[in-house]
Amino acid sequence: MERDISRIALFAALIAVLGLLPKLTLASGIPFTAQSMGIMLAGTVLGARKGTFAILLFLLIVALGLPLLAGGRGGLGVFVGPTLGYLVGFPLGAFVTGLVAAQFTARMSFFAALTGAFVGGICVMTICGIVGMSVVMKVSLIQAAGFATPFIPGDLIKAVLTAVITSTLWKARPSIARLS
Amino acid sequence: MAAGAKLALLCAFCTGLGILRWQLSGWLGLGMVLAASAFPGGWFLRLILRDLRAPALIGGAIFGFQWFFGRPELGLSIAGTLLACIGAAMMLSRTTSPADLLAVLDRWLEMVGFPVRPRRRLSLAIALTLRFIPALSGRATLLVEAYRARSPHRLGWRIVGPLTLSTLDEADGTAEALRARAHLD
Repeated sequence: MERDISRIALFAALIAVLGLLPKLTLASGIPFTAQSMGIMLAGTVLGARKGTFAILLFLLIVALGLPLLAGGRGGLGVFVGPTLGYLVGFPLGAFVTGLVAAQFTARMSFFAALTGAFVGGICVMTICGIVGMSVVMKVSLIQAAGFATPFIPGDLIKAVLTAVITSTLWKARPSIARLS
Repeated sequence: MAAGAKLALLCAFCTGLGILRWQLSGWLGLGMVLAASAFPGGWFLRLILRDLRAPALIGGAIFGFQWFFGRPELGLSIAGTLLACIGAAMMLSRTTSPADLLAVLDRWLEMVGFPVRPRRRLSLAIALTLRFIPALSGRATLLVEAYRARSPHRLGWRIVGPLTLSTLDEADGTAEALRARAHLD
């Protein structure tokens, strides 16, 4: 139990720290931050259940007012904006990422992590984001999808990086896969 | 005002604005938020206005988009509601400490019959996270500096691997320390 709590808490802290890293800008001019990669990593490294708890813990701390979201945002205000769908998608995405990766024999292998990150970290999170934007901005789902599309190339890069990092971690500490 | 009352008021305010179909209700709500922000003094109003700068850009984009599709009234209404809700939420965040909000959460969970053990674990997890954010942030800085000392290139995303690995090692060390102190017994 102690190990679970400390891993969940430390991953929540890791996601916060990844949000503080300077953002990169793609050739298309679209910026992307490492924070959503933290969501994918929580799913692939901690697994579906603990990964989800780590994200929920992170969001709870954001809701309490700490400016830990990328760009130094925090407080209850972030839960009423157009990005609400993405915030709802964070725990769902981590859960699906872990769930999909767990279907593979070696759940921390490159392909397991890549598939999990693609389905959970991109598909689920983007769908949640599109629905959220559609509801908050009162636009059609297709129009909202148009807003989300420019971010997909960045998300694909993050999914590949998540898979590389997860498989590297697995090689460096094989015990991680057994314990999570 | 107590943190619980402020939270309940925020819920009622945002729900009310969501239910009201009147076109200018959001802007009226924003006016109320700004008027309330002016009570403690001009400095607090400026703080809230600064918090609303980024949401205002989003609100402007929403208005522009709806205007482009021939629905400027709808865009105006959404932007007003959005700014009013965010402004009210920022007022609460600016005037209530995270510890008070956590106490409200704990009280509400107790009221709905949430058992003591999970509540203790939640408090412990929050305390650990808050303790480790500066520690991990410092470690990230150290990793970047160590890399810079050895390479002319930027570290970039490659920091995530060693940072995650050290996080997991730190987690195991913390778990041992918690177990040794029988923290969850």
